[in-house]
Amino acid sequence: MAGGQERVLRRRIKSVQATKKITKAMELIAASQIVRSQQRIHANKRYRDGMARVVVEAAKGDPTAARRLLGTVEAPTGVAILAIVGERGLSGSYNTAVFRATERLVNEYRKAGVEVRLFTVGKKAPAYFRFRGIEVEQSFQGFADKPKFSDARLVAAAIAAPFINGDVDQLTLVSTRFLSAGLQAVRTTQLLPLVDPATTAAPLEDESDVKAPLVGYTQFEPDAARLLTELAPRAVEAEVFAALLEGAASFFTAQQRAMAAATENADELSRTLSRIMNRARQDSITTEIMEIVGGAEALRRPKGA
Amino acid sequence: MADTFALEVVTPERVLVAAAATAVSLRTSGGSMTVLAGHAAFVGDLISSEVRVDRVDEEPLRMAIHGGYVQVDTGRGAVEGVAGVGDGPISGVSTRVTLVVGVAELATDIDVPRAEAAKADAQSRLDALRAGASRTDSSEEARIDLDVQAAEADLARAELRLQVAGVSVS
Repeated sequence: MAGGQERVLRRRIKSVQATKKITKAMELIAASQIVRSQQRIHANKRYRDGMARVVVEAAKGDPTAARRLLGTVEAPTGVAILAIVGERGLSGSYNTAVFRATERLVNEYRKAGVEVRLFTVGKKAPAYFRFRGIEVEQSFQGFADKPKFSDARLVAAAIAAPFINGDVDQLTLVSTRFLSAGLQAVRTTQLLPLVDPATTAAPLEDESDVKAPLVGYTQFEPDAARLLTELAPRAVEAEVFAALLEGAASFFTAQQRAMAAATENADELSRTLSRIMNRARQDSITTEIMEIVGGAEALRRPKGA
Repeated sequence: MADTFALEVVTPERVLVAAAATAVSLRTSGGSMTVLAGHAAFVGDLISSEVRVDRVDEEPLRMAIHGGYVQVDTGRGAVEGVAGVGDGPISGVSTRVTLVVGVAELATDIDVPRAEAAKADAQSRLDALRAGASRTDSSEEARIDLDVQAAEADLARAELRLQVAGVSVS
């Protein structure tokens, strides 16, 4: 029967519209979370800057110790990598982008004969890497959406351990940075040894020029070398926390965007489907009329003959 | 009026204090110190302790901090963004003190019943570990040492909170 196609289409439209309601709701939830996670990044900024300033001061205070603890290792023999992804999917390419960058990095290091130890944050990570045959040493889950500082502490302690024990000589972070509300990008940053502040064009450097007459008179307690050593794990904590916050904000932004696209697509799909359905209905009505008319014609003709 | 300087206490979650202060008393690993306006540039570590901030015409602020760093900045423009702060005793040299701490609470924000519960919990854990310590073999000793350290740290934190909140610690 012609009505069969119509029924099938009606059912599909209904299901598309139900899906649209879900994606719309997810879009709105993600949008509200973006604001909150952006506020948290903002609130964290002073802490991050403060920590960076302390590192800069301590590094200037003892350049010899700074050379040992700062800067990039020329030829590392072991590297620990921390990859930060989301707890859930349905967020466009948010997770995949980090996965790809991490995988590329791991392969590069392995090709160069460097031992790689991988740590991950986010529920989505272990499954992906296991499938690719990359062993995950430790996976942290359950807080990528709403990271607390204690979470960052836990992660930082775990990833810094191999560096402190001397098993690896570099610690690298792969995560999505929240550059602005419109732009998020995957970045690879070195956590340990601490990035030498002198090599990064930080605005802090200009600031120190301004107070030039007083440079070199900074007092330290304990001395700068000890301070730097103790500072390293704290600085990693601060960096990991900042990365977690930015990751969460990026996740929600990606999810909001993906869900907005899905909602739009559902709209279009249901429009196309109802057009097809209307045509099918029209067709079946026309056919029915033709049948009735044809039948009536057939009945009438023998009578008149 | 006493000279003031800009003081900021920043934690990972928020800026706890941003105010004009006349003095801030704190403890580094080298001992107690009080920072006044015009202090020399300084960087030091903070040990878990009580920090007291004196302000003009206002009650002093007291807070419990659990580890961090202190930086005294003496640049021009160092006090930007904090209201009510003038130059220190040396003209052209202003002072900004930043306390960068992982965990900090103002005395008024401390949840006394919770701290008391945490203290009792840490104490009982410590007692249990010490009582059981004699009958364990050496392989477990390292793990128990860690547990003891964790319990002791929890206990110290709870006691500091109670002390800052003004509850007497026995």
